[in-house]
Amino acid sequence: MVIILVVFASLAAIWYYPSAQAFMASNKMWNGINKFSKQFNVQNVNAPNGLPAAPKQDVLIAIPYIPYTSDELIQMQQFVENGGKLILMDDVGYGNSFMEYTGIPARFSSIPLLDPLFNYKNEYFPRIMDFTANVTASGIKVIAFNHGTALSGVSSSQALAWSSKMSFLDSNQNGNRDNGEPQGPFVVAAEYMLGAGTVDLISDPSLIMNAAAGSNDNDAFVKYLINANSKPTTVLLDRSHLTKSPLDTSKIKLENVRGIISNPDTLLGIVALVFVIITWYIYRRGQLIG
Amino acid sequence: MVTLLGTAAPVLASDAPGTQQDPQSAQETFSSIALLNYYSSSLDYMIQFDQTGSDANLAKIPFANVPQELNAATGDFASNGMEFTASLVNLFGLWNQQNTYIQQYRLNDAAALYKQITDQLPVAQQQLSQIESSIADTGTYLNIDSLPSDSGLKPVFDEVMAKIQQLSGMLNLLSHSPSPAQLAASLTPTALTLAIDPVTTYVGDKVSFKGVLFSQGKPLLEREITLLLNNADLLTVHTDAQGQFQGTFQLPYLYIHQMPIQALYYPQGNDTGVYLAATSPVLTMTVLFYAAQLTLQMNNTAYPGKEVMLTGKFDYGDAPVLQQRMAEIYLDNNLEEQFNMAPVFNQGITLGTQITPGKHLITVSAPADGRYAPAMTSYIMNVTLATTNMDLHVSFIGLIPGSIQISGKLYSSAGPLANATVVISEGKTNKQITTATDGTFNTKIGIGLGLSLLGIQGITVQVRPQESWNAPLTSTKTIFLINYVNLILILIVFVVLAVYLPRRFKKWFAAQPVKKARPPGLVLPLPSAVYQNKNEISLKRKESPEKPEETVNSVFYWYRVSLKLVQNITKAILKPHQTLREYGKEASQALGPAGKYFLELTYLLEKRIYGKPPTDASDIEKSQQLAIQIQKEAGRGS
Repeated sequence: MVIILVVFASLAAIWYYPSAQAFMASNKMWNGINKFSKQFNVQNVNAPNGLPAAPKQDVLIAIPYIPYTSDELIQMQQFVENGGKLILMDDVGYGNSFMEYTGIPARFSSIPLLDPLFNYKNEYFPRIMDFTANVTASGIKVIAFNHGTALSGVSSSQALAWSSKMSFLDSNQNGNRDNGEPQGPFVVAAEYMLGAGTVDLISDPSLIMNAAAGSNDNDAFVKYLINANSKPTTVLLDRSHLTKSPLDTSKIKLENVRGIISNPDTLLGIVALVFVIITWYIYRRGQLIG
Repeated sequence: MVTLLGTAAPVLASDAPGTQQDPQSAQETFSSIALLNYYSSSLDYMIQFDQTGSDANLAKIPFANVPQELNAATGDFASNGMEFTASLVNLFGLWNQQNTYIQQYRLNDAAALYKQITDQLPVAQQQLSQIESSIADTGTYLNIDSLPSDSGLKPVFDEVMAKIQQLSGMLNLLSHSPSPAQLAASLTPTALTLAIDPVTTYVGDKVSFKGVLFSQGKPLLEREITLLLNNADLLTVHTDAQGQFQGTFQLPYLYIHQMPIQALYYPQGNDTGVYLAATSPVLTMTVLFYAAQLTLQMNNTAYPGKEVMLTGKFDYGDAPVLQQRMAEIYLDNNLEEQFNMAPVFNQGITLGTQITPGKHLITVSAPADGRYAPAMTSYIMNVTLATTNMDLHVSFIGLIPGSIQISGKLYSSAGPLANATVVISEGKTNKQITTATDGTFNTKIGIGLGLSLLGIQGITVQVRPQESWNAPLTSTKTIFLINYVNLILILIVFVVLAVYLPRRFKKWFAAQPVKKARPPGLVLPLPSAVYQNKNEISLKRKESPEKPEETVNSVFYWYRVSLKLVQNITKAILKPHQTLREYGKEASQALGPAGKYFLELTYLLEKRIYGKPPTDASDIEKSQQLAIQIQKEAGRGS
């Protein structure tokens, strides 16, 4: 009885204890995406294999902190080509494999983008103030990055947003602009058509975090990207390429178990099993008592 | 708790690779050199008269990270900077025009501009002064004066101040320009008249003009007169011996309803420095032409690689209809087609296979044709991929080993998908086929023997259309697979077990007490809980002397244990009409050596039942011994 109680207490603790890992939906701290998840009713997918086959008006948000496999790249390409919208938010460069695979010329630089003047608090929170006419028309004036990077290889017709002239790529990562370090403006957001769908590239995933850097239009910009074509049916978040703590892994497994148990077939099997065990027990008792 | 601690420990673990930082706890820093560089670049825009760039640059100042003490200075710099740039651009525009007029000895016109310049100049000087003040305030905050000469900040500040001085010098240039009125005082004024006929006419028609140039009542001979139409030079003529000029010109094909026309004389050659320039009064010419309203519509959906059909219509209103006119079709500013078009026309253009789905601009332009003004219209064309539809036929149930028949038809709004590549995947099995010209496909996919029994399996069908206008498609259909080989094998095993196990169980349950009978203690198989319950019953039974107490210490109990064993061995049951003794005799014959013990136990029970209670303890002990003996003998026998 004690063991059962401990097991249930542990499971409840895993279920209700909030995650502290970045970009986890259950994380209500500054680096979580609890607000974003609730705002857009985000559904987590644990692998690109779980993507819908006919994703018209579905939006997939991918933050690749783990490299993609070739099978995953195929799945993501199909998702977009079949009409889905992929918002690829990357500041480390793992998303470049998707662009290489699909032939999109843009690349995430992965070099820190700093702006010593137009920023929130310090140069690692550069403010983005230049957008295309469509973005500006939707009321967006400024967004703020949090240790983001820039995009390269993007033509002006594909760009959505640029950093300021004062920004630079801190190649040697010493926090200062040195000779030879590229100076802005840099493209930080871009959009490409792929098949029947679109791919949006954002060079900083922190836009969807709970803690926005200062008073800005981060939420409005993300909303613009998600709703740019039409109101999406479903907003999906690829959780499989985020780094996870053991608590997150346990939570995911627990969710999977709950999903399996809530399956009618499984429930039927469990009921049948319980029935067989009870019958066997009664039969045994009958044999013994005579 | 162990699980909780184990899983919660990573709360203190390192963050994701992105190394984001909590904005609330981030340290505030300010880059003074970045602010001065920003001032410098803003002043560059002003020096280059780039109002758009200056406005865009200065509008960003509210988003700069500057100390609170500098908010006023930076704000003033931005607001005054935008106003000053506008003033500067306007002043130098006026100044350039004034210089043109002076070169033409149009000193009256130049004087009017000079007045505008001198009126606006103080405002601009005030704005520049405020900009300088903002920069000075910034320098004070940064303690520029006390910085060492080798400080990196000081040269940037000096550069900013040098640019202020440059702008100040530009304003000084304006303020020190000579007044056109001073020039005019030393020159002889001239006058010019102009008349045209007709005043209202069609484009391309002939228009006559005439006028007189004179100075102080005397005609000026052989002077060049410039005719300005719509403020641009149209032609030049010379005055005759009476100072008169006249001629005709063809009204250019400018499709503007009202155009100003004016004659201009400005001194050239020997007249330079003698006469002032003169302009005639401005006349307005009404220009007639035929205008057509062109409308355009698209008749079908635009797909990459397919022809899109455009229908256009010219509406000439009351004007004569032009039966044929040249036209050009542009796609995203690239010329696609040139053709002659009727008032109502249909024209197709084939889109490239590589065209990006999305919005594209179609422009149809008809150049001017004589009295007919040019006509142009644009249409936003939405290029899309046709949604691929698939009628997939897969049986609900499949057998393993075997094959699944898969057939279907692929089509879109643009027609059937011919020669499309279809990849069918079932588990690790893949098969690639090509559709027929009508979009149909029919194939079988083999499924090898595996360990599965039965269940639902997804079959994924990926479609890669041959045509550029059809969208790719991935679809999944489930099928219930039955592995009949494995099922038959399992069934056989079950049947064998069903036949074998009951007998085995029966024997096992029957043999168990006998085997356990060897040690005397093992003849007591009943759990204590049962006895406790029975004791509760027996307590009640104590009240009735006819009902014997059934406990481990009762003859009745030991008889029951033995009776069960005997019944299992002999397969003879106690019949309703039999007495215990009759049954004991019958069973003892079948029991062999154990029979005599069973018969003796029967007599003891009879004594217990029909005799007077309480039972003698020796009887109970004897009944137990007899039961053990029966089991021992029966065990030997089996």
